[in-house]
Amino acid sequence: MSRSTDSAPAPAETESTSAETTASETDVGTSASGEANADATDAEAPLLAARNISKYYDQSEGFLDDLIGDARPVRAVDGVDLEVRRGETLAVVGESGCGKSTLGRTLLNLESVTGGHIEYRGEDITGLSGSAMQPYRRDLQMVFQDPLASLNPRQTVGEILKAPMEVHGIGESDEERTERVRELLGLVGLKEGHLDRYPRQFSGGQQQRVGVARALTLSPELIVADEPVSALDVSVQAQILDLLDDLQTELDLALCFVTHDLSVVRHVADRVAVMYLGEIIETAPVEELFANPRHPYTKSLLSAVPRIDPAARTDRTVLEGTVPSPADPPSGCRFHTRCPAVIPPAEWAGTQAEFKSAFTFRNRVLGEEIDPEAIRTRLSAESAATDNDAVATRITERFVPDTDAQLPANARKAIENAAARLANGETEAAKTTVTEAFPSPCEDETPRDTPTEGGHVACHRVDPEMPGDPDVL
Amino acid sequence: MNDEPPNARSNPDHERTRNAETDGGLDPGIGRNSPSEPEPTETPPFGEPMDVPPEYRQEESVVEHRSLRSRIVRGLREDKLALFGAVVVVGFVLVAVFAPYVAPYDPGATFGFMQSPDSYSQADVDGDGSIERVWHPLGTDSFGYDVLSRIIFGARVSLAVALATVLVAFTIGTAIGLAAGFYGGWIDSVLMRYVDFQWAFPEIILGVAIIAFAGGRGVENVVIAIGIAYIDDFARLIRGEVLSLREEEYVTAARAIGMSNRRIMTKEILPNAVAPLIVQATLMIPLAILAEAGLSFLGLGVSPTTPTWGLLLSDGRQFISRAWWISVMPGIAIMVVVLAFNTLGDGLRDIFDVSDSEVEQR
Ligand code: SF4
Repeated sequence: MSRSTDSAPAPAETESTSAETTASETDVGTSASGEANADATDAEAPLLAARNISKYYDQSEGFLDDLIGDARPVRAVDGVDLEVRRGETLAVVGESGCGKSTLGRTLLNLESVTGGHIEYRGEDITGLSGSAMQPYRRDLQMVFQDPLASLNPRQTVGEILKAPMEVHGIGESDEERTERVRELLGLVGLKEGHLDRYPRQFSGGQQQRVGVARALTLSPELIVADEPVSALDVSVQAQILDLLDDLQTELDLALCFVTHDLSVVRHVADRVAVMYLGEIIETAPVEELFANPRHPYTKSLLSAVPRIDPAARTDRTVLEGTVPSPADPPSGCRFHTRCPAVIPPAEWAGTQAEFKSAFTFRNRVLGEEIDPEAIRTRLSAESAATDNDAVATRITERFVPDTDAQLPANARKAIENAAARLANGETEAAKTTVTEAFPSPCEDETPRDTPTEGGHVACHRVDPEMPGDPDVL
Repeated sequence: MNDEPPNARSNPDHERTRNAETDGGLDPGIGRNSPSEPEPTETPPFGEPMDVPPEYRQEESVVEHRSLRSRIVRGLREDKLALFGAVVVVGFVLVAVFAPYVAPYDPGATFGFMQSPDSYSQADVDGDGSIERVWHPLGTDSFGYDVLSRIIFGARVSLAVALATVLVAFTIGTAIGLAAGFYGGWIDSVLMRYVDFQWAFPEIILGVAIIAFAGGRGVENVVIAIGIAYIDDFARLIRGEVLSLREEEYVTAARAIGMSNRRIMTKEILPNAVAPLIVQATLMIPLAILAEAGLSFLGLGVSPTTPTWGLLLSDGRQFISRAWWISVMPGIAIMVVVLAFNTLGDGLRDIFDVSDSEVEQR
C-alpha cells in the first residue's frame, strides 16, 4: 500500500483485538495452488488477468422482441484487459452503470463472460462450472456492496462464517471451525459474543466486517471488493477502508477495489483503472493518475474533486450531457459525446472551447434533446412572437450563446441553419446539417491503448499518431 | 440513468444507490485521512445518497429480528380471530390424538338404530354384564353406532390423512418448485409444463384417477392421490419464491465461497421461503380434509368401515329425511375444522405479511 498510514489501525466500533496480534494465526490454510505454483512469486506476474473480456446482457424477452427489433444487448463490459498483481490494490473507478460491478463479478466467474478469457495464475478459468471452479474459490473471494443483503437473514454470524469451511472441508470438527471463526471475528474487530447474532442485529459497519471476515475465512489470495463502503454511513466508511488496508498488508492480499468514489481510490489503491461505458480508458499508478491524469475523462473526474488548498484549485471541468446507453454506445471514442477535449476537424478555424460548444449543440440535436414545441410554448407564455424564425433564434441563443463562444462565421451559420430546420420540424435534416458541419476524428476511430508512465490511455490526443494536442486541458 | 434495461435483472451494475448523473456520478470527496473525525455532514460529501444509515438499521433490527415462533405467538395474540382458529385446531388435534379417552363409547359399539340426539339407550358398555342407561348427545346412526364417538374417532383418520397428504404435496411440490426456479431453462420448462398439466385437472377427478390406477382404496392410496393432486400449488409457490430469492446477494455470496447448488437451495434459499410455505400448508389442510371427505362420499375413501368424516357423511345420506343428524353432525365437524384452519391460515398470512399473490387460495 502506498498510502502513508497516519492513524492507528482501525479503531472499530468495538474495542477490537488489534489486527496484528492475530494475523499470524490466520495463515492456517495456505492455498493449494500457492504451493503448486511456488515460482510465481515475481511481483509483476499477474495473479488474475482479464484478457479482452466482454459481458453483454440480452435485453430481449423472447422472439417477439427480436421481431420488433429492440434486442440490442447491453454491453456492460466490452473488451476489457486487466491484471491484478500479487499483493497490490487495483481500484476500478467509474460512474454508476459503467459496468465496473459486472466486471468485478465476471472476474470471479460469478457471471459468465460473453467473450474473452480470465486467467488465474496463468490458468484459464473462463466459464468454469460450479464444481470445476470450486478449488479456485478458495483463492478468489468477494466483499459485497450491501453488507446486509449479502448475509443470509436466517443464519447467525457463526453459521455464515463456518459455511465456507464446511464447503471446502476445512477443519476437523465443528469446534475447530468455531475456534477459527472466533479468530476471524477478532481479526475484523468484532467480538466473540457476536457469534450467535443475526445480521440484522448489527450496524452497517459491523455487517461489513462480517462480510470481510467471510471473505477471509478461506485465506484467499485476492479479494474483489465491490463498492464495499458506499452503502455505509460516512463516519464508518473510513474504518472499513482502514480495516481492508491493514488486512491487506498483514495477509499479503491482492485487492480489486471497485468504486465510484475517487477519494476512496486515493485512500486505498496502488493502481487505478478508470472505466467508461464498459471500457477501461486509462490505467496508471495512483500517484501518477492523481498528479498527471492523461485521459480527458479522468481529468474531468479529478477536477471535480475539491482541493483543500484553494490555490491549487484548477478550473473545474464539469461533464456535460448524459451518459449514453451501453446498449448503443457512441461510435469511435465512447466518450466523444461528453468529452471537453473532443478533437476538432483539421479545417476548424476557431478554438477548442468554441468547437466544444458547437459540438455540444450537435450532440443535443442528434440526441433530440431540443424540443422546438416546448420553446414555442415558452415564447407564447412570454407573449413574444412564436413563428419559426423566433423559435430558431431562441434555440440558437439558448444553446449556443454568443457570449460563450465567438464561433467562426461558417459554424455560426450552420448552427442557425440547423436551428431553423428544427423549428420547421425537420429533425432529420437538422441532424444531417450538424453532422456535416461538425465532424470529429474522435467519432470515427476507436482510440488505441497508448502506453504511458506505468499504464496506458485510450485517447486520440495521447496517441502520437493521431491528431490533437495532448495538453489541451 | 435509464440505460439499464428493466429486465436485465442479473446485472449487478444496477446499483442500489441512486445515480447522480448531473455531476457525472463520481463523487468529489475530500481526501479523508482522519477517520476519527468524520466531516460534519449536513449533506454528505459523497454525491450519492447513502443507502441506509446505521442508526435506522439498528432500529429495524429490533423490530424485524424475531424468530418465526415468536412472530407467530405475538401475531396470534393480536389477531383474536386467528387465535380462535388456532385454539379450535389444537382442540381438534388433541381430541383426535386422545380419541379413546375422549370418546364416550367404542366406535364399534352398537346401540339402538337412528336414535335422535340427546336420547338414551340401554346397553352393556363396559362389558361387565350389567345393562346401563347410556346417553347419545348426537344420536346414533343407521347401524346403531354412537354418532359423537364415530365423529371423534373419525377426526383421527381425517386429520391424519389430511396432514399426511399435505406433507406429500409439500415435499414433492417443494422439490419441483426449487429445481424449476433455481435452474430455470429447460428444467423449469419441463417441470412447470407438468405442473400446468396437473393444474388443469380438478383435484377430485385426478384423485379418482390415481386411486383407480393405484388399485383401489386404502390409506396410502388416498394420501398419495390427494397429495399428488396438490403438488402444483406448492410447486408454483416455491418456484415464485425461488425466482426472487435466487437474485439475492447472499445467494451470490454463497456461490462466491464455492457452495454447491444443492446446499444453496436447501440452506440458503429454502429457509427464507418458509413463511409462505407455512401459510400455504395451513390453507391446504382444510382442502385436503374436504377432498378426503369427497373421495369417501364417492365410495373411494380409506375403507368402507374405518370411520372418517366423509364416510359418516356419506353413510347418512340415504336417511337424511328421517335421521338428519347422521349426516349433519359430521358435516358440522368438517365445517368447523375447515373454518378454523382457514382463519388460522389467513392470520398467519397477515403475520408473515405474505402477499395474496404468493399464496393462491382456491
Ligand atoms: S479520443 Fe477524443 S473524444 Fe475520446 S477522450 Fe480523446 S479527445 Fe476525447
